[in-house]
Amino acid sequence: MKITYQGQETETEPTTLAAFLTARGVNIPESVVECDGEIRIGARALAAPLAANAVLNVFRIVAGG
Amino acid sequence: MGANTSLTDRERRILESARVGIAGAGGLGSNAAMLLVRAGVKNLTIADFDTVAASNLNRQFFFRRQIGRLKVDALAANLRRIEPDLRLTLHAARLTPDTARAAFAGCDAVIEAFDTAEAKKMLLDALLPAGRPVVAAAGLAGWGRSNDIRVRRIGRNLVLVGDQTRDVRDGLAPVGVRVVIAAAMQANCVVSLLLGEEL
Repeated sequence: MKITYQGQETETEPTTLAAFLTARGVNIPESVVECDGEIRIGARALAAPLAANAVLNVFRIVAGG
Repeated sequence: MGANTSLTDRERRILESARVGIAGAGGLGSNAAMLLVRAGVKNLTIADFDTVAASNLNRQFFFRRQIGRLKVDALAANLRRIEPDLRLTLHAARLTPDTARAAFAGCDAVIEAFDTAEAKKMLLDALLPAGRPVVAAAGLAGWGRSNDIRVRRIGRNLVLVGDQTRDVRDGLAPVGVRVVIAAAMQANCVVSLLLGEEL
């Protein structure tokens, strides 16, 4: 199925949000995950299946202040 | 009359009645608080467990004679030198998800101004589900690359300021010239949110 990940159209097998991101090396505990305009917080939200045509963006939270 | 004499009556009414949370009173939080007070915000909730250190003076809104004082107390004193008529709620404690939700419960917007990635993420996870607008920062260490610091609106209630890459853990120092850009952008976003203006 097709999704849009970080602005790029991407093919993926059906999977969960967490598995998709982990496979791409995303450090989920230090990231903000936005899927279809909603921020997904917590293990339960990230265990949800990734829907076809989803628009997924990940934002890194890095240290400094 | 507050610190900002150029406000319209409407702007003054909105900014003076708003309550803004500041989570962390370091490089981001102390400068964002100072700029919010200069903009006309009078009601702040500020949380930080730490004391002022000599190493903070390269970027934080403190003075040498304040070394050793609690940051929340030193910041309150400095803000009142700009505008004596402030309503400040101070929390000199390390926040947990529960205490963060309680501390900022009545705030119209919260500035995330912690230094570690873990603390930043903890605050976002605690506050965003409640629908509270949060203006966070990530990626502001080192020198130069001013134009890499951007404002992004994420989901319904998160605004993220920074370049998302320049990390103090990569050996880049947090230095005032770049940290204060991010702090000013955070303060500008909060004022814009309160006034219903474009970010």
